[in-house]
Amino acid sequence: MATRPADQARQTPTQKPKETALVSLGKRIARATRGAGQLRLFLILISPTFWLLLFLVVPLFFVALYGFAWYDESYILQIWPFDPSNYQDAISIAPDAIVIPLLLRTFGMAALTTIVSLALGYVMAYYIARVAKEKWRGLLMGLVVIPFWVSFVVRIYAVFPFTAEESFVHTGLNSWGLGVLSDLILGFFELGTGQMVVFTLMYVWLPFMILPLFASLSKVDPILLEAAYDLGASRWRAFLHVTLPLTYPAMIVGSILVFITSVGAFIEPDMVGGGAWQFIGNYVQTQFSFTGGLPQASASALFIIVVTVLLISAYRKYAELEEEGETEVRSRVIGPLLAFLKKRLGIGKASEPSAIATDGGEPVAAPALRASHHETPIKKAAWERALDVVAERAGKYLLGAATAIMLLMFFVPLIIVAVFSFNSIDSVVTFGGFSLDWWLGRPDRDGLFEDEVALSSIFYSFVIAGLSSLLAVLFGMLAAFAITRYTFRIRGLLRTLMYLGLVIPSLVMGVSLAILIRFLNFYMLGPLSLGYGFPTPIQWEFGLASVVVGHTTFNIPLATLVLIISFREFDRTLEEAAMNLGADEMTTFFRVTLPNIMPGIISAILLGFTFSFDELPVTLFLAGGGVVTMPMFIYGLISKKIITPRVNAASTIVLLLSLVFIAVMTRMGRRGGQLFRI
Amino acid sequence: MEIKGLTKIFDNTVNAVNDVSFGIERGSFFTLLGPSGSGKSTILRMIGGLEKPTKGKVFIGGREVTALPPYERDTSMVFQSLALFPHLTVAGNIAFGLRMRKVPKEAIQKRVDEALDLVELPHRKYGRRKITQLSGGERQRVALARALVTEPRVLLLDEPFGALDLKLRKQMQVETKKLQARLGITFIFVTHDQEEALTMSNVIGVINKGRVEQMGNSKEIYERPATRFVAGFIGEANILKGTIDRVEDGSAFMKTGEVAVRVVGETVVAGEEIFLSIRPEKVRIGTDAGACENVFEGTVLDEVYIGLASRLTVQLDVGPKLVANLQISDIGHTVPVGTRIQVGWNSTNAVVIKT
Repeated sequence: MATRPADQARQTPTQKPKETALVSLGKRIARATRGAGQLRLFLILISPTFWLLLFLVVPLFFVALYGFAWYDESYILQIWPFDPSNYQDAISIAPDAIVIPLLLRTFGMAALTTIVSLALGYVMAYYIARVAKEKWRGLLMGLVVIPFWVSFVVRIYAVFPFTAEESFVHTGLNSWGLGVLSDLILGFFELGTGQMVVFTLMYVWLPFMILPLFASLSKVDPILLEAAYDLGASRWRAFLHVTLPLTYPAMIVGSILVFITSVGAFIEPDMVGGGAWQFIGNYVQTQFSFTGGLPQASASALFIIVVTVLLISAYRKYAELEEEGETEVRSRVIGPLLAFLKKRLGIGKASEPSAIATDGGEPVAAPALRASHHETPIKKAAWERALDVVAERAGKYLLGAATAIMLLMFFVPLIIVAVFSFNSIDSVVTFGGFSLDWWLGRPDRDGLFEDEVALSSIFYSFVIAGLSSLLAVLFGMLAAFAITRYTFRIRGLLRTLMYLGLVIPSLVMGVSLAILIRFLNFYMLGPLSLGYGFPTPIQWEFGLASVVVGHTTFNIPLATLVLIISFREFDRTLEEAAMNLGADEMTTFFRVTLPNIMPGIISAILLGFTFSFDELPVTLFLAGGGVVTMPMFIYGLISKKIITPRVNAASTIVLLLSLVFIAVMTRMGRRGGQLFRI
Repeated sequence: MEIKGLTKIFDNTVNAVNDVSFGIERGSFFTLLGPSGSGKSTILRMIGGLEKPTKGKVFIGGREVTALPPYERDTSMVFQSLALFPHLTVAGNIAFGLRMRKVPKEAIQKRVDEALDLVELPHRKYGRRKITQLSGGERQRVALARALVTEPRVLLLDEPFGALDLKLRKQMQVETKKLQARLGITFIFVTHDQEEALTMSNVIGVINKGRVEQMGNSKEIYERPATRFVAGFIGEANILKGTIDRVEDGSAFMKTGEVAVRVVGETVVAGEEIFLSIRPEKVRIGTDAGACENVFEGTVLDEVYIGLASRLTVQLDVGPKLVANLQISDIGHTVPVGTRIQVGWNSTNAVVIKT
């Protein structure tokens, strides 16, 4: 069947479209592999699989390997023979051990962040998905997602004015007689404290929690709740026994995302925690950046890798459950956890004996259902009825208020940042008047647009984001095509790779890729090039290429997951119709399939572009000396404590560009859904 | 169980249910029959407490429950979409209502098993299954078991067989009816399928545009439709409109166009405008027709083979068209289009309808 339409297409005298080189090459390959499905599949799969294995998985092994490395007398890094001392140090629980205490703190803080995010995220997602009017839902989700598109460096920076006593926020509050509120804010938002670190992590990564929860909560059929009421459940029991279990997969997915991201965090604690609240990531980064620390950095980074790898299969399972709209009949994670807690705290057990006692008088073993004997209608306890009334009348407002406060917390700081970029005086906390000095400069003041580093960072950011998002979409398209159209043995592996790329902390990705490049340079490129008679060893220098490779690697999973959705939603009978009308496979793909999945492709490119544009950790490890991106520029100024409205100006650029991307994306992506599914 | 003056207005404009009152005897199988959008499901949901009535009252077992939330009512509902909890097993679904009532664990186990046996799903085999592993018919039974296990006074069924294929549907109808007879629980059944309603119910309430058009048992509804809507919605009917010309010794004559038709004269007076409903199967054809009170000549316009009969559309020479069923007693018996034919009916087989 496949050959006939193609032949006919060649015979038809109608205008023949000019073939580009790519299309004709594709046609030739398609023709050559006709009937050889395996070969075709291999050609489709080879590049994305190879890329992900080489730049995502293999580097992780090198991290493990370099944990055994050591420096000889001339300060040259040696791998063989293995030196286990770094690992021994890393797992040491001696009083002077460094890694384990850091690790414990990291896990503790990450767990706390996860719990706080889960609680807050659930409230917001519940309000948006189930309480808010339908016409507001899209807008509210948009408001949740927008800050996510702004580089987290900028967002953390935006909170700073709330932490400074001399800031206009506090002078303003005091002058309005709201000194109490000002004291409260100052007491909580204090740089260098643990709660500030937890808050910041929650603040930055909350959308990771809200997105899956929102998707899951909107899918809960209201009829199920009616059925629960009908069967005797009060509102809150129906929530507990129906809504909550149905969203377990999403809760687990969101929690794993937030937890892993927090475990790998280092920029957030660095910015708000000061020296006192270092995470394991900070240790990895400092060790890595000073000569001689690489083995220690590797050995301690391995902990983060192990956590990630352990959680990845759970993540994959629940993400796929969620994607297929399925639920777990018996949660293997939350069910036992709840049972354990119940047993531990003695909740629920107390009421049961009494229930048996009251039932003792009645014939418990009713022989069969009879109309004469039936359960009397339930009389609820007074507190339960009261709770129901509260839930019905006030629940809406309570949840709405919480959501509104969180959204305000997302946006007010960002607006303040933008406004202060026009400050006439050298302060980011008190406004002196309007001026463009920090943008255009004046004799005694460097404006952003006079700063060559700033300008080149904009340029680099665009180049890196553009290249990496395009490359990622190419690979992602191949992978998504294979995953949706074929069944093959490594499909599971490929999906796992995608999820790994999605959840792996940027720190690990950056460190491991940097180690891989070092290894390649030292053991392969160097000796090889010298062996072939080059005068100096050829080296892969850190710079544009390595950053693009890094960004492409984390963008491929994003692109693939977006495009899988597009391919799934695409009606394949359209292809059959096209072939039936005489188009060969390549023509069909370019003329029918591609135009139909275009919204998905554009979404994927924009998503990748934004992620790359905002990215900092991976870039930090791979940029080398020459390349500076926008977030690097901003972070550099902040960490060097050169905090002037110039930082605000740079942040405002990031902010504005993000807004433009969102606007384009919502317009071109047509389906807002894709934006939320990340 | 009784409802009084039940009214539901959605969004201040749509009168979904309009002043509906009726009582249902304990232990009967009551069906609300009506086209989609007629408000029958809304009535059911108001009885179950899932919808608050704008006006009117609901009584169950003599107690007013209008203001009670669904979970404090003695009703259980089988939903149209079944609404089985996907996160629970079969046993978990059935146990839900009992768990909400804080029935002790051992008793729950026992009663779930009984409920599964009751709907003829062996509990050993089915208890642990996921809902997604069940066929449509099996899900149906689980939904029924879940609603019955709490032993409600009234079971509400909202078009529960809508998604089943014809054969399974018939089977479930028979089983549900049997179950109802055995348990003696009041069933309130909502459907738009008139055949389903006729075969299952003790009493049918025909609902149209939020009002009760007629209440009665199957036979009354079918043979004595009170309104044109009922005549047309339940089975098929030829409706002739006309005016009573004269009434004499128990018979009346109705003029429709130029034709005079004899009708039963007990309830009509001269000059009254009425409608006459004649079921296609009550119209006699050919030689049988000659002996009838009303006999007309006509030409066959159309013949449609429907399996157990042939449906003929006959253009009467005197004007109206009439649909008649021709019983096919011998294979190959057809009446080709264009055949001249005699049709007729007796006045007792035609129903006088006033509205």
